Amino acid sequence: MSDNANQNELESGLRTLWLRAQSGDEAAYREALLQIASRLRGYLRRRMQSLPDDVEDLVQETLLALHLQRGTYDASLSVGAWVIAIARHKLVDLWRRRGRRDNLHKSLDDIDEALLVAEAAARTGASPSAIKVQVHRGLKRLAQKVKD
Amino acid sequence: MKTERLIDLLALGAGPAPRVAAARRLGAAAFAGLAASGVLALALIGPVPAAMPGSSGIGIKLLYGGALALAAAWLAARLGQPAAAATPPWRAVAAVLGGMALVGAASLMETPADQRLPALLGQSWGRCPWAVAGLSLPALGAALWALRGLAPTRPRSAGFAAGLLAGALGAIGYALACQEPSPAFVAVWYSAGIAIPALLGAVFGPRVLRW
Repeated sequence: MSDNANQNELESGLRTLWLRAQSGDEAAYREALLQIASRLRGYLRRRMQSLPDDVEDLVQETLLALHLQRGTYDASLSVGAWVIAIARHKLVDLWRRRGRRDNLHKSLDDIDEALLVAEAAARTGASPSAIKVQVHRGLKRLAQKVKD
Repeated sequence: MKTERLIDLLALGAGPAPRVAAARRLGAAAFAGLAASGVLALALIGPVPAAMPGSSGIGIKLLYGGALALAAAWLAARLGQPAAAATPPWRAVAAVLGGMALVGAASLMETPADQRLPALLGQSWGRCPWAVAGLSLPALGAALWALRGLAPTRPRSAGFAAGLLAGALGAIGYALACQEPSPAFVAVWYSAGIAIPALLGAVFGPRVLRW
């Protein structure tokens, strides 16, 4: 309940600033963006726990996006909801870009390994699965040596 | 760059927010799409013979296409704006589609049982959906262009809305050339044709509407 009231107070303070900013008050705009940045930081940090180093980049990307799109805001919207909708959009975009890159890495790694095994099999005349077993045993022995 | 420095830069000389004329942009796209679909329908297929404008059921087709275009444009405008409520326009779209289905079903009930299938299939059921979809393609391009100028944070739904708008405009164009009289025909085959650009919009929306 008090959390909710707190939220409302934040929103109404931000809304006043934001409406002044929309009509051209640059000091209000700067202040509003500072408040929004700290809110974005909290929102994104909670959702990017696996990528803490990228949080500030995404905060900046979102600030830039909402600057470029501030014409799409109208007074019927909650400033907080408008900001978060854009932040979520940027976050989804980041996951999509990341996902694609990670998949690429993964498939390259797979291809590498398959090529190495095939080459070893061709040189030694052993079957690929025998090579894999050998590699596996070698790794195990290495690990044991390191431990000792 | 530090975030505070970025904020200083953004605020410096920012001036008042630019006005984004969503309605004008979507309206211009819809007008261009409508003109293209009408001209193509008349040029490629030819107008309904003057002897039968009354019996060709053109009124209900234009009413259906027009109402759906308005609802879909409303939906697209809302989906082009972050955090704007989209439920009312979704309901409007559903009401138009449902209303047409009801009118179609009612007309089928009034038809004698042995003539229902011929009324439903008409002479051109295999052509109609493809014609509607084909005539809607210029409008689909225009509607997606209009949305790119807005800020769609729900790109799949926004693409769907653009496709629905385009489909409705394609249906209006095709109505000028279509001789099928039965509302049941319109409810099924026009709607099937409208669904094609709508699905295309939903498929390509996430790619085309990135920002």
